[in-house]
Amino acid sequence: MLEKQDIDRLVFRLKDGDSLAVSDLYDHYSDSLYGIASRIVRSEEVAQDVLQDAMVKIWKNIHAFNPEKATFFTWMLNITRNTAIDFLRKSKKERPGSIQDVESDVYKSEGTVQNVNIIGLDALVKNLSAEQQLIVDYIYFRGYTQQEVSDELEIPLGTVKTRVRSAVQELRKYFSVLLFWI
Amino acid sequence: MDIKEYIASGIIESYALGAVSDQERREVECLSAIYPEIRQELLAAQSSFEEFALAMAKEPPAGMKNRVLEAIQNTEQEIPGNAAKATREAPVVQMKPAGSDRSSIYKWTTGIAAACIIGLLFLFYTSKSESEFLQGQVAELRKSESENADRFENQMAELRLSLNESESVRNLIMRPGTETVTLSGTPSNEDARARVYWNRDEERVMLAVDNLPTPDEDKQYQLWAIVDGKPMDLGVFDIESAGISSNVPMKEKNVQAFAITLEKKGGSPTPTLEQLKVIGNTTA
Repeated sequence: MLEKQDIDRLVFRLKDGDSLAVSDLYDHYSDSLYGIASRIVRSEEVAQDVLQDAMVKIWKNIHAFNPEKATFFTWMLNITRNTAIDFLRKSKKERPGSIQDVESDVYKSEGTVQNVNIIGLDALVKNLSAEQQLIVDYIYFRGYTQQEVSDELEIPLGTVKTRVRSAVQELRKYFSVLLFWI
Repeated sequence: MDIKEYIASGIIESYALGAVSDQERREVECLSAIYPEIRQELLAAQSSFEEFALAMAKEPPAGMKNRVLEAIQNTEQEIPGNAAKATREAPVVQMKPAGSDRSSIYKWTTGIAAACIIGLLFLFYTSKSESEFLQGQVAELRKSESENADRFENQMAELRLSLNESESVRNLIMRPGTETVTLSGTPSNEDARARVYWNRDEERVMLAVDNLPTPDEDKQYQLWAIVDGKPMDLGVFDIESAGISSNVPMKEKNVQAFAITLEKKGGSPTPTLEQLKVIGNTTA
């Protein structure tokens, strides 16, 4: 991982319009961005389109990056995530009743989630309860709002909020909180 | 504000998870700029997701890099206004961990707090003047609406009146026994035309003007019935109101002709024959 000074230099070069800096950007971050993209869209092919779109957006909007709001990495993750969720929604609209819908029906009918693998990271999220995993999946990977989760899973909004908080706290507990980028 | 309570509300986690509304997002961003504690919580929560992403990392296929580089070659950066140059020349501000330099952080946060407050005040005043403006608009609209309503009412009344008139015209014309007498122009005024509807049984006469020149201000047309060779006054009329004002009672049964002359305003007791404009014989 890059040190803070390296990141600053990279951002500076990008803002300067140095397209060679994109090569470095790709080398350092494409794995992470591609990982989250494919987790969200669940298709290698679409994930490649998402990665390309997201990288173009990062390049295009680099002047909008504000280090006071988020680290550079978080900023890029959010762009990638939003791009991926847009792709997901588009494909859902085009093919109603796709895999995602079937899955959410399964969740609903089973009540609790049996499959610890839903996030595909069982080792990492094993400390999360099934409900917490479900919340993370819906919100982070599918772009649901808390209200939509509440409607979809038929649980009160307050409960959704509590689970969001506890899920993120569990994640924090699990990851040694090394603030690399501050 | 109670920072601990705010942190405990879970909104920072929701923010990091991407599950907040736009308003909540701005709120978190504003507050995290003011309160180092909130900022620290936020960074910690975001960092969890960074770790999360690192754990999910996956190498894209080999050709991907060139594809991306090519796409970027063809993309212009969006540079906000004239700030672009300044951004380029400005040194990169190094972020410092919260609390490492108290006094400068407080100076900085005070500045941001002031900016937030000024922003809010600005919003407040714009919305206030906006609402005053809107109230004025509403009052104006109400006024013009009631004016419109008045105008519509007048137009309705006019329409009703002319509807009644045309109904009575139609009634008379369509009724059995109504005779149509066409009055034609005299040699000095061949194009002049008018019609008289005459119903003997109802003893009524109605005039329709087809073509009569507009008279001078001090003159008026006068309608006559020729009864037993003698002219009988049926009244003066204005061209515009012909057909209405001329819907007059006419008791005489033995009418040979109808005629219109141009007379001095108010009419004459006997017709001025040189001013005969149109005349038409009845079937009687």
